[in-house]
Amino acid sequence: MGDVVLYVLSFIAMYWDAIFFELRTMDVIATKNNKKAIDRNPQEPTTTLIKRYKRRKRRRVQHHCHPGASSLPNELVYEILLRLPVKTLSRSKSVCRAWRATISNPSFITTHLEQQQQSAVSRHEQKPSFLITPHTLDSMIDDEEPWPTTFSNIITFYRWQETEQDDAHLVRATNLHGEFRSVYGMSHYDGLVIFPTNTRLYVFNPATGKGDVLKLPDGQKRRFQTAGLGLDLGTNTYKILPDGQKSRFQTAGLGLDLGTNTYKIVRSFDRSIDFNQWTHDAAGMEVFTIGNRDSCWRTVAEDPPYPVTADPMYFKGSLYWHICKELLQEGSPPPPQGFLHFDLQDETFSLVLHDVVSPSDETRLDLVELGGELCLAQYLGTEMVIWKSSPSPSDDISHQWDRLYTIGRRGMAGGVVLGLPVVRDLLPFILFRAPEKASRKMVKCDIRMDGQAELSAMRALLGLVYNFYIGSVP
Amino acid sequence: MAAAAAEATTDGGGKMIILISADGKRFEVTEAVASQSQLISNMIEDDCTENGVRLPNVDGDILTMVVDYCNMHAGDAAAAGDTMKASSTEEELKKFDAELVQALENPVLFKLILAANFLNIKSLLDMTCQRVADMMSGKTPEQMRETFSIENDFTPEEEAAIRQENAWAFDD
Repeated sequence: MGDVVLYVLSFIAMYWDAIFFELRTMDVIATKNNKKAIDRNPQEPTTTLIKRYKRRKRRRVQHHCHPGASSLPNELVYEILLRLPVKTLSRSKSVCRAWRATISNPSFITTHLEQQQQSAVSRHEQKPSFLITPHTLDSMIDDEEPWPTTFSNIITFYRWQETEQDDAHLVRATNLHGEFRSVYGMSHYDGLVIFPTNTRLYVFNPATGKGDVLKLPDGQKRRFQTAGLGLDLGTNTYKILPDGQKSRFQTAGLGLDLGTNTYKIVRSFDRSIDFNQWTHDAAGMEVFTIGNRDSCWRTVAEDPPYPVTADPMYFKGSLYWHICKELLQEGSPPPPQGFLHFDLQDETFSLVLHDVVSPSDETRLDLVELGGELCLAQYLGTEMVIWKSSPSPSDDISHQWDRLYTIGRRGMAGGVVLGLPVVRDLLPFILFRAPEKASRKMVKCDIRMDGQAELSAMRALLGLVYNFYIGSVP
Repeated sequence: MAAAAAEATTDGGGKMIILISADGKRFEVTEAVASQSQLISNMIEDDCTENGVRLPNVDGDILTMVVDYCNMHAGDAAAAGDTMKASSTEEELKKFDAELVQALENPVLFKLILAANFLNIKSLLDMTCQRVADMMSGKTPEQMRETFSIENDFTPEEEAAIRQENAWAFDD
């Protein structure tokens, strides 16, 4: 029985291979989050799987290997493969079938991630590394409200490591040759980037070679026009597109389903929307599972209780959305103050509530992950407050929020907070665009120091930086 | 040389244990040194080390290295043990470890991995596996096959396809 399951698993693995280029490689290069995700899911029978898997592979490998004096049993080869850096590991795939199967197995990938992190911690030499994806414009049209339509079709990815010289280097650039005009909020997870545009939704894996752009098929979005909401960078508030500038503003998130260990992309859609009344009925959600055979969008059985907006945030196997108050039916009761939580495993919704601000307060609040904890970032004019949550023991949705940091005037220096705070190993810092309009500079603010440093290398970016998104990579 | 190193620790106290290699070489070590091997530690617990511990899988040359390693690292394991050994700084240990595996050719390194696995000395297994992994970086698949005595079971077309998929890993 177990063997049958494993055959199915390895069959799926092979299938992935063919269709989705190097999704597994990018799993390998994926972030710490993956490890965390595994750690936090005690139900996941990873170890048993690995053991069984190893046993099976060992039998199979015996046919292919010379029992020469210098050969090692496969359990020890496995130990060595676990310690290979990603690039060497990818090259090792062409050594023999058995190695390739082992390296491509999802359970090996998660174990490899853990191993790499442990050795990085023990060696104290690997500084946190981040992938930065700037939004760049080909040209700046003055007062183009509220969202530009001149986004560059050359998509660049920079890798930045926290080192002495604050150096960010170009990992790759892809030209999509006019396939879209606007780009909306991207999300990063495990080194993957989802890239919603006014035409299609793309998934990038910048670490791999050519042809690694996954162009997702059209989903429900053709049936309607999605709510047009844009983030106004001047005031840091979300606002509705004026009539006549409606666009298909996609809100999509990416995360790991801890039950099946697969990446899911979740996108909201509205079954109908009246742009004149600003009302909608029945928002829906659809899911695209990366690596799934049918590669199509599937509508989630349960509808979200509220319309959602903005880029969802991933944390521990779930996505968190902002509730879109503007799209609620007129006369309906005000939504609860909080975020809509979507569990990627059982695909159900719940709420995460907060009372950090009074209900009438329009201050922008975002959920962020800081040092492995769910936190709230509150953007005030001259400062940013980070709140840390501790779930209430009585139920899941009430959270107690305690003030963790206040980043003062000096740290912000008039810059616009763009990416969400990015943190690894309790080293929080925020990256933001320098205050000048269309600046090519990015600024780093280390929360501990309440100081800032400039990422000078980012000046070399192509085009005008409108915004940028960032995620951590191993 | 290993025997001398072992004797140096005898003053530190503890019962002595005799390890006997496949080719009959004998090594006298303290319990604290020997019990870094989980295998021997279990045997000590079960009281079956009286007549020496025979290690039919491990050659004398390899056991010499293992005993050297265990002597050097006894400080971490036995907190209340010999003060001289325990005072080895982390730096010294690192240097010792690096020198131990640096000069080893693959067949010997593999034997050391097998010994570390058999004796169940986790830190030594980690270090030796890491060494092999480090040596693999920059190698071509052909060189890797040679190192591990593996036959290429891909068809040329398959291999080309896999290389194509992993092209980024091949440009240095």
